[in-house]
Amino acid sequence: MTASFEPRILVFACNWCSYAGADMAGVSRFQMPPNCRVVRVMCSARIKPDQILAALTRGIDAVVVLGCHPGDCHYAEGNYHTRRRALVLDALLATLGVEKERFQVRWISAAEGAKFAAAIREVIDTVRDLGPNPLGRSHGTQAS
Amino acid sequence: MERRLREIAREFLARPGTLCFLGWEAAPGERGTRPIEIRDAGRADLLVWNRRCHANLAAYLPRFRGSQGSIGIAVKGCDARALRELVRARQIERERLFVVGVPCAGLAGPDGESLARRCHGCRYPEGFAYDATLGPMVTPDLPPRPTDDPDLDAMSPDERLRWSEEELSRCIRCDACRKACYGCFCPECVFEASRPRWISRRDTIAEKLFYHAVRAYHLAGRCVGCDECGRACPAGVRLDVLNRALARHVEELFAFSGAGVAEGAVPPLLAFEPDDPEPYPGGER
Amino acid sequence: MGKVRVGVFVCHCGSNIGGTVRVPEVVEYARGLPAVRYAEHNLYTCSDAGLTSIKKKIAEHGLNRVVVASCTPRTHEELFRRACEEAGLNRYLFEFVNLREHCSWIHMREPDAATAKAKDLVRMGVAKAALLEPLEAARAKVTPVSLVIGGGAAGLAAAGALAQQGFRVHLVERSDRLGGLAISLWRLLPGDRPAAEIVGVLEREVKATGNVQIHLRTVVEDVSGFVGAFKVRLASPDGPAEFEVGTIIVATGARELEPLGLYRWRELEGVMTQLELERALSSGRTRYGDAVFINCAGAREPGRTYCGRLCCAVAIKNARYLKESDPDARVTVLQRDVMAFGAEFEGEYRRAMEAGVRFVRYSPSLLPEIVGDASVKAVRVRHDLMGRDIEIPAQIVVLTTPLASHADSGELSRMLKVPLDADGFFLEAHMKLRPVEFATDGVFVAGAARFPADIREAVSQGIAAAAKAAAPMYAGEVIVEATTARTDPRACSGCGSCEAVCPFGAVTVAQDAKGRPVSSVNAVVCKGCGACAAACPCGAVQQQGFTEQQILEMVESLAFGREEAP
Repeated sequence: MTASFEPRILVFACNWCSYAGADMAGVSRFQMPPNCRVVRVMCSARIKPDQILAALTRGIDAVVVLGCHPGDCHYAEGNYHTRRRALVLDALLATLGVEKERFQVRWISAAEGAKFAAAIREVIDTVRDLGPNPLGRSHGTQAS
Repeated sequence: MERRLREIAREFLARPGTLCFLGWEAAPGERGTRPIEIRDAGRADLLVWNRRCHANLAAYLPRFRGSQGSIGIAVKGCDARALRELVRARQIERERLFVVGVPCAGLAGPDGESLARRCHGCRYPEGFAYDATLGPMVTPDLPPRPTDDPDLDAMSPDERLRWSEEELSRCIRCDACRKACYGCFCPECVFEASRPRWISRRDTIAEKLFYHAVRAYHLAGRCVGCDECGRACPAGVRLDVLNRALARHVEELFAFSGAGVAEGAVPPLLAFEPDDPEPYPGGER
Repeated sequence: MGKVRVGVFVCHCGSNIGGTVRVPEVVEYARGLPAVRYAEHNLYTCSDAGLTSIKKKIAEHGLNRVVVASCTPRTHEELFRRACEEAGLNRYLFEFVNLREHCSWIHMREPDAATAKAKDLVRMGVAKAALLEPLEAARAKVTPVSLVIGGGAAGLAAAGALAQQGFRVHLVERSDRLGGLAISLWRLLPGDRPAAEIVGVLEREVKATGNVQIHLRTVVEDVSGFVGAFKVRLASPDGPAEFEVGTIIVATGARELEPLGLYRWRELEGVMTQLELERALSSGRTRYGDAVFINCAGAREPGRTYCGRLCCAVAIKNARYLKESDPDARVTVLQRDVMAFGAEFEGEYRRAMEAGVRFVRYSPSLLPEIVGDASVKAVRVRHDLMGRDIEIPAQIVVLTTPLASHADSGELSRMLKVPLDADGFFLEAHMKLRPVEFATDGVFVAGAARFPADIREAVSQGIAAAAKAAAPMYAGEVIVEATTARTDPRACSGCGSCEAVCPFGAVTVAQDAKGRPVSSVNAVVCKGCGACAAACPCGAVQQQGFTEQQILEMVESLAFGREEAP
């Protein structure tokens, strides 16, 4: 873990709430470190642990799934499914010994630009301290 | 009981419209028994029942989709749970089956004597309507966990990762675990797909971790703990430790009695509660 | 993949992007990406000049995928999709990359990092764009007939509003009269009007339109179908009826909670609910002797935590009437906070106090006790302010209970695929932004079916629901989002995971021609959330526009790509 390690973090954001919240952070000019890359989906329920595991085993240092607050999903129930899947993935990653900070779920509404910025900064700082994702070693994608 | 099993099978196969009876026959070598699909009533005498009848015959049921005729099948407690799950997932219609419950009180381990590691923490399905039984189908009183099993809970995350990687590094990606598992019945498995190409044949620990992690997730809430995966593995990977640990977490998280245990229970990943706990990092909703 | 020709248009957005991100460098980088056949930068891609350039370059370079890297899709996605369409390209062959809100604006002091990130984002966007397929949005015809379930104030207002706009309405009421709860009431606040008079006006208006078919003593037995084409089956003593409607309004109201087991109701002579009192008042009896009202009976407690909103106003109204018609009687209201909101109710509260009604606060941990053998004699209560027990003589005790959901709301909820909240009331799509709609298209809600509502609220909501329902019926068709799910039947095992998680009932498993269970998606009902695609273990169900391959390609593009193009 050299001083120059900067984590690469994948963020899935749902179109109706969290992507809009990320936009709000941009509009408000909240500055953040440049480690995240956002992928837009219509609902956090589109995300399955297979994709998250693919990201982690291909060397991405952390994955964050953002969705609407439970009860506010634009599609009524989508984020309830996201929540259950995330709980199972948490348990699976814990069983395998993968650091829990490398997969996080956060609920961000369209108005919560500040919360988005704070969450992103927190995730980047935490994962930077953890160091490179050990699962990425064999792919040779681990950042030096 | 073995005699009764043969009688039942013989009677069943003599009826009109029956296709076959799935059971176990004697096999040479350490294995002791192996699955057999009997079509002719005259061959029912090949059926055996003993502490080495490990095979989960329910795993063969999906291949009968699209065919006609009723199927007889002998099931132990764990197998019956798998069968119930298959019926729920529409892989076989209950009306096509003639289910014979075999009251297993624990299978033999590799030495032929001790208890097989899969039998620890055995749970029979509740309220299962068998078409015939060889005895009362109740959960035997068996110890919860082998004392020499790796205790993942007692390890630190670092130790657990070391254990996972060491264990999974043995994997030779032969897919036997997937083939043996009753719950793996997808016509085209994600690991066989080329679009998208989820996994390569590269022999890296990352690929192996991905394979087993995804398989464990696909089985979350559906694994019945039959350890056919572990039994099939030529490299001796402790898949049972991984899958059972996850099964236990799922049961605790969602107050779930276990795959195929309660009649009509929906696997936790296909349902939700508005007040489910929060995933990491949790905190305010 | 050789046939895919991607065009990349990177925007400066004035200096919003270009002031931080080195846009020409990103364009140069894009040119080197697989499948990219053309790349340029624009000052304002959303301007006339920018849109024209896109259309020109599509033609000139034979582009069949377009990536615009600029602001947020939530502003101009529609604009660019239309530009593609005008150039002869399917609008869904377009991908948006956000370099402003998600890049230049949040890394303003780090131009190097922002430029590197912009390259990553463009690379990911191109990777997805190369896999996009043309999609056609489905259209569904809408039958210009509406079903209104419930003939109370909300239902009458909704039916009348729709009928006046020229739509035919089936109004279904399970009792033998229209008017709902209101016909059991005596007089209404504010204004002291007889309740039956108000709903009588609504009923006359409905009948005058000539467009409303009223079904009394009728219940809805089954509903199938989806927005624009719901198939409804009714059951009544006159026999069944079946027809098709385009929209449905739920106005089934609520019931007065029966205070079973509380305060010796039905056990002791003289203990009654507010509705029972109002019925007695309607029959002409005005003198009851000393009266004690107990508010929040059965409300704001474990098991039923909500406040009934209107019951305080009812208690205040009836308490004042009793006091004014029998000034010698002692009228006391035992309360746990008085909910008398707005100018009118607060005014009534004041009037009641001025008339001599006493309000005594009690604590939920020390409930009042009814004293009496065959009939009520008194009420014993711990006076919260005085801090000691008092005994109030009473000949009647009136229990103020909240409105509660109907016991069978669950059946209707399942039939229409609309949710209930924890108290059994119907749950709207969004409390603030979509208060009279359900997430399920074509179904609307009004009145006490949602939460305890008075007649004014019921009528407002009825009219609002009618307005919402009229929209698709006027349009004659609904256009649905094209990024819906789709099943590949050859890959499907029929396991039903997709069906189990769909919030809208859009995915169902049924037997195919060979008798095998296979899932299929109703593209009109599908809202495009992708929950089914994520539940499918083998990928037989995919969400168009967000396929497994597209997502994984983006992930790999991030994991394996580098700043320098391969």
